[in-house]
Amino acid sequence: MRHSLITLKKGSIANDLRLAWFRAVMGAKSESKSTRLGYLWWLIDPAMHLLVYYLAFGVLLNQGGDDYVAYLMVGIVHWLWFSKSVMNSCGSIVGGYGLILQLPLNICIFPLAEILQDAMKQVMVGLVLILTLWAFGHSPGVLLIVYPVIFFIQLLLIVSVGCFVAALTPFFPDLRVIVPTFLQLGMFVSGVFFTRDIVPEYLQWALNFNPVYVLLESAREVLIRGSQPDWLLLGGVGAVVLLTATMALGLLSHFNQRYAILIQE
Amino acid sequence: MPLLIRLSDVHLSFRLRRSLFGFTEHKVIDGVNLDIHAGQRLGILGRNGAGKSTLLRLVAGIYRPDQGCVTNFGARVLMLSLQAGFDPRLNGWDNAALSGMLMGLSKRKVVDRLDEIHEFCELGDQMNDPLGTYSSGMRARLGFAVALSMDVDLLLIDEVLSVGDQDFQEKCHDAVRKKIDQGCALVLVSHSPENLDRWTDSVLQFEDGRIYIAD
Repeated sequence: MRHSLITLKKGSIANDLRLAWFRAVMGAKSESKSTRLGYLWWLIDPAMHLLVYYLAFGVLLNQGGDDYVAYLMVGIVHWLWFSKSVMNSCGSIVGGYGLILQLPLNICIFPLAEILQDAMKQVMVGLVLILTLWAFGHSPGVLLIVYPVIFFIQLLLIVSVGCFVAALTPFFPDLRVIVPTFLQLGMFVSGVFFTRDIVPEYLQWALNFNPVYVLLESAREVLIRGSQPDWLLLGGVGAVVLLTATMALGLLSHFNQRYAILIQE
Repeated sequence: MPLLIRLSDVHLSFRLRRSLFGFTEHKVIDGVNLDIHAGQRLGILGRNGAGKSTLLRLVAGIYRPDQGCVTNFGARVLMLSLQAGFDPRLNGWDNAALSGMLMGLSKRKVVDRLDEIHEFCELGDQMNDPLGTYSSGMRARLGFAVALSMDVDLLLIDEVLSVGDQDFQEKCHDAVRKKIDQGCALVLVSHSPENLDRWTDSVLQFEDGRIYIAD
């Protein structure tokens, strides 16, 4: 009996993941239908963003040379993925109101579908970023094979934070206003714009406890400097986000049937 | 007949927020005991706002009771919800697949049943058009066709369906009857005693959050 229960649980997790993925694919398809250029925007949008940052910081402000522009681009691209995905997850359960009241679904599929849809787009963004950096003379060479590892750890970080805020928002809807402010604060302490050397030396150790900073630096090591990331730090972040992602999904699962009532109250 | 679902002393309240920290409780289900068996056709009569939909959602496993227990003995339960998860920008095929998966089918099974769904909903080539261009009747037809293609042991219906024109309504009624004849149990909630008499073989009354034997 116990064995069959475990099998059922495993099967249902796989089904929920497949459902979240299919919702993500359909969500992306639906989004593409809302514009004339459709999926082409997945390439044009990040290319335009990068061009804007290049013009603003590389040409107009002429800040720090090409290396700084590349530094900024890697930071911005990865930060935007994180913040957009967390925001999309934040309102996903309340946004799924109609469906939640009609079908007994695993609530995890709502934030996960948003996160997977953003991750699909980010694959394209990553591609544009790598090509742009290559045009600036930064080639990661064989180390490019390390980049998917960094990408996956960031995805797990997004699942942790995204599912955590998604789980709490129905209890405290004001989070939809609070989360953007915290994300803004997060941007300023995660090394998106600044380099490590402008932080006072006695505070630099604290940056290693910021998983976003560690991920941004790892991506920069690979994509700009063509060197290995700090595997000890990256491995530590990977282990922590794996644990926190599991906990966040567990939290959603724990309150699964509460949400149908909460969103009505 | 095997037992599908048992509700044992089920209570459920909604909290209505009145101020920053204050709220009042509104009791909707107040100690319901109910057994639903395979093949049963049960009607639940109640006025509008009595909490009939809440009761169905408890049976479907959408809500968890505050107190008491809802036990599902392995039944595949479907609340007949039209247009579950529909997206106006996607075409009929994509919407049917998405809705079918949300209702619990695997992608392969949904794909296998798309032709059957297409045939039932009678949308023809319009299945290739975005759902946003459909009339409300056409959407409901597609939704009904998807719901009817599911494998279920217990069908929960909130008020009798009136989908599309007279002919299509007859077709829907025949399809539901066929499901019931095949052994699928039915719980129908309605405010209309006539509808319940037509569709069910026993009727209970739902009032003030409790179930009574109907007069």
